[in-house]
Amino acid sequence: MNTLTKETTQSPERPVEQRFIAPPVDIREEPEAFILVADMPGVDKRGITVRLDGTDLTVTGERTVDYPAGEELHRESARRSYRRTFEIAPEIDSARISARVADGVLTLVLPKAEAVKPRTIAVTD
Amino acid sequence: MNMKLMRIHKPEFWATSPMGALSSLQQEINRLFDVPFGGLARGGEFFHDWAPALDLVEDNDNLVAQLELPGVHKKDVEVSVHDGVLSVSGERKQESETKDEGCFRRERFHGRFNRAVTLPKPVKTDAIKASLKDGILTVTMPKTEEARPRQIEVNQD
Repeated sequence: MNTLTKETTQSPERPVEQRFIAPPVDIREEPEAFILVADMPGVDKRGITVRLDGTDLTVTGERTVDYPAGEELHRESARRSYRRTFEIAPEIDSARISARVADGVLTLVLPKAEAVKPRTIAVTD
Repeated sequence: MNMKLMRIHKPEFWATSPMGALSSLQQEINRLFDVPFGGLARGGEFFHDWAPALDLVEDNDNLVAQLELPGVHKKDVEVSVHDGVLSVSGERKQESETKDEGCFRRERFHGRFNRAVTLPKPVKTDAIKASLKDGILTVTMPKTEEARPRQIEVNQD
């Protein structure tokens, strides 16, 4: 019985059949943090899930803007959810990761832990 | 500095659509041969061309086009319909703080884009509406009376 309950609760998290596309990303380093920017057109705040599992950071985006109804004459959009997993380094302070989304672009700020930030050491006499 | 600080773990893009990736590469190559000098003469710009995905659907009253324009601002988009062709052009500007320095993965496109599609039905050019929301541009083009399906009443003599 226990096993069954466990499986049932787990199954929505593991949509085996669902296929995803990986959003294109830019990653850059700043003195205080790493910045990850991902294109997820059609996704607003409600559609974004950012999940950290150990060192695996998974971003998932489900489209919230409606697709137009009617007969399809031409289609280039993938019509799939976005998902991509990144491995983050222990240098990143995972408790302070923040995310925001605007105009279909997700920006993640991954702050560096205090220990690895560049520091200026004062010279003493 | 250790470059493996944050590395891509599962490149699902390649895993899920190898054919898609291949066919877009194929298209690039085909285009390279179509315009032997046109593309390359513009100093590498060729490889940074951005052609946002475009969908076109038709319902009873409208033709509706949707384009994926993440990170594009309303003021940087131009929509026009001329001679039965819908054109959408514009620009995605680089975020102000972005510098090449310190950037170790760059997959997103920046710069100008241009898409055009021939409309299969005549539309009322003065009644076209365009809206941009969460990076999706929706252009609603009402069909002309002649292009709309009509119910013909059967008269009894």
